This record gives sequence, C-alpha cells and structure tokens, in this order.
Amino acid sequence: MARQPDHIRAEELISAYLDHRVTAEEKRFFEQHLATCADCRAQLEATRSMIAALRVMPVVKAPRSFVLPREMGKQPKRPVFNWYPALRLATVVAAMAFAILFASDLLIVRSGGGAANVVSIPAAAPAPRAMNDAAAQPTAAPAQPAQAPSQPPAFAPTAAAPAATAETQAPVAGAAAKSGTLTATLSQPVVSALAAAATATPEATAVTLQAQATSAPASAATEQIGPAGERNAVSTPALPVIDPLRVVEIALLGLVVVLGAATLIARRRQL
Amino acid sequence: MDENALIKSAQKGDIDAFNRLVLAYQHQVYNLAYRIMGEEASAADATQEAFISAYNHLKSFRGGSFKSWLLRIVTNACYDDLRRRKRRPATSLDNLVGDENGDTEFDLPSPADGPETIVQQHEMAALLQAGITTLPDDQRIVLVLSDIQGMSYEEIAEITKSNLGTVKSRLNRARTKLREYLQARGELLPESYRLEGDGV
Repeated sequence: MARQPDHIRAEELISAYLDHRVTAEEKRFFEQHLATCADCRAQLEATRSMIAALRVMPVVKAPRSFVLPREMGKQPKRPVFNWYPALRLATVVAAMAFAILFASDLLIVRSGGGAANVVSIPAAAPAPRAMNDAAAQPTAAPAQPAQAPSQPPAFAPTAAAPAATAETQAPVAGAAAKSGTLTATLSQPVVSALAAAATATPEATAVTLQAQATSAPASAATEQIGPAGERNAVSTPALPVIDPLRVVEIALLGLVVVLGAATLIARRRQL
Repeated sequence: MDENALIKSAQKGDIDAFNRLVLAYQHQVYNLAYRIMGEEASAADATQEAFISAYNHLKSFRGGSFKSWLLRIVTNACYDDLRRRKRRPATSLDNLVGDENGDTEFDLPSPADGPETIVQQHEMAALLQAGITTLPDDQRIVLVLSDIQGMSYEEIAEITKSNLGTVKSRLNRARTKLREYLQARGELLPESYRLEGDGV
C-alpha cells in the first residue's frame, strides 16, 4: 500500500512527461516508478498512441466560404472624392456672387430707366419695390409678367428696361435652365435668380419656389444699393453703352455653368 | 502580394485584401472551431464570427504570426459560444459516423496510405472527436490546441489567459479522460492502434 501515493503521483506526471515538461527530479521519480509499475507503463503507451492519433486527425474542410460581404469594407478614398466638396463650394460661391451682382445691377438699370423717363417718375418709384417683392417672394413672380402688359403705359418703359437686358441674356439663361435641371441643387439659385428678375422661361419660374433663401440676401443687397443706384442714375442719364458690369456678369454666369457641370461630373464619378 | 502587404491593405479597409486572407486561412480556422465545437453549424458560426471580429479589430494586429492571431480569435469565439449556451448534449457517435456519406469532407491523409489505413483513421478520428466533445470546455480547448493544433504550453496559456501550471494540469486531466473514454470502447490497447513513424 506504500506504493499508492507514488502511483497517483506518477499518473499525474504521464502527460507532462510526454511533453518533456517535467523537472529533473520528477523525471527520475517517474522513470523509477515506471520500472516497477506495469499499469503506468501501459497508460503511458496508451496516452502516447492517443496523442499520435490526435496529431494526424484529418483536417476538416470548411463547408462554405467565409469571405466577408463587400459592403462591410470601407470605400478606399479616391482623388475624385476630394474634388467634389471643393467644386461644390466654388459653384455655390460663384452662383451667389452672380445672383448678388445681377440683382444689384438690375436695380441700377431700373432706377436709371425710371429717372430718365420724366413723365413716369411717380410710376417708376414703386417699380424697384415691385422687383424687390418679386425677388423676395418668388411665388408672386409668375404673376408679374401677366400683369406687366396691363399696367399703365407709364410702367411699360421701366418694365421694358430689364426685359431688354434680360433678352440679351436669354440664351444664356436658357442654357443655365437646362443645365440647372441637371445640376439640381447647385445651379438652381442662379436660374431662379434670373427667373425672379427677368422671368426668362416658364420652367425656370417653376423653380423659383426654392430660391427664397438666395433671393432674400440678394434683395437685401439691392435695397442697400438702391439709393446709391438712384443717385448714380440721376448723375448719368441712361447711356446705351456696354456696361463692363454686364461683361463680368456673363463671365460669372459662364463660370457658374462650367463649375456646376464639373461638380456634377465629380459627384457622379464619386458615386 | 505577400501576406504582410495584404494585411496592410486590409487594415486600411480593403475588404478584398482581407478576403484573400480569409480564403487562405478559413480551413485551418474552421478546423479548429470544428474540433472544439464538435459539430458543423456551431463551428461555421464561430468561424464567421471570428473573421468578422478579426476584420473589425485588424488595427490591433501588430505583426507576429497572423495565423496564431486568427486561431486565438476563433478560440475565443468558441469559448464565448460555449459559455453562452452552457453545456449541451454531446453529438452522438452515430451522427459522426454518419458523416462518412454526409456533408463533412475530410482530407485524405496521404495518397500513399492504403484504403485500410484511411478507413481506420476516419473511424479513429470520429471516435476521438466524440470523445473530445465529452470533455469539459476548458479541458477540451487545451487538448485541441495542444494535441491537434500542436501549440506550445506558452501559446495556449496566452490564448486561454491562464498560466503554465493551469495549462499543464488541464491537459493532463483532458488526456486522462479521453484515454479512458477510448479504452472503455476497446481502443488504445497498446497494440490496437499504432502509427508508423510514431516520433513522439
């Protein structure tokens, strides 16, 4: 019975002994015990065989592929991606610059025309305000051209003045309106600013509903410029020279169209 | 592209690069999961979980063996899974033997082995697997990592977050239980199963 504790200790050492994880003392003890214990010898052999069998267990093949769905991947950044916000900002800035410039220019021409027509001074006075209203409340804009012909004749020359200027830009406005439907949110301010002022195309006036945000600062600007414009009109009576301002306006509009198109391309490529 | 380049790309979010790593390691990862879980569906779940987790934590991989890193993750996935549902009745032996004509595919041990050896190995593998699933979780994981995956005590201690003494004693208990399981079924009488080239 004295062997019993030794036997238990030896059994505990079988696993570590096979892995060479026993101390020198343990090793000596185990091998000594092994020499006298047939049972421990048998267990050692059995364990050795079992480990050998475990080592050569066949590799079970995966029953399916475990690749992850592509949606899990974050899109690797592309250079186009960086262009889009910059282009968008540039387009918005250019469009707003154009809207402000055009609105203020329109007011100058209007009040100039009103001042030139001596007879219609009282009639011309509400005219700029009417235009401001048109800009501030674009929903009223479609009503304006309908009323314009039915107005007293005194109003006609003043209404004709922006109409004439608008006509020169009509093709441009038309182009802008076409690209405006494409560039949706981007060119709309431009198109609707044109529409609110000159009511160039019916489809453009349909867009004016959304122009309120940009039209509001624009009309604010015209109000500020208003008195200066009238003074200017009095000192220089309407001269039919090509205003350099008009050239700047057209150039700006062209820039807006080009930028809008570039933004659209950048966005499409990003998607 | 070598493995390190693929890992770098995958760390930047390139899912295609990561999936190439998945294809390279999925059999080894699944195999480990299968040996621990003992059945196909749970092993597949753990494997998928492990690859998703690996992808999400790829930033935390800082060199070393990518395979070991993956195996550690799948072991933890199995651990969590086992802990979640506690103990379930072990897969029956009939089921495993029935796999012979079922879905589970085994690699042939070697073309040089005769058909008898192959059949013998498959029978033995099925019996071993059935025995492994009867072991308590802690012991089972240590036994699979050590005796099937061939990992060192140190690696196992790291994966299971335990010390060398714990690994040693768990492995001893696991081997003793498995041996008794096999002996109760008439296996492992010293002459009954011998491998040629037994270098242990």
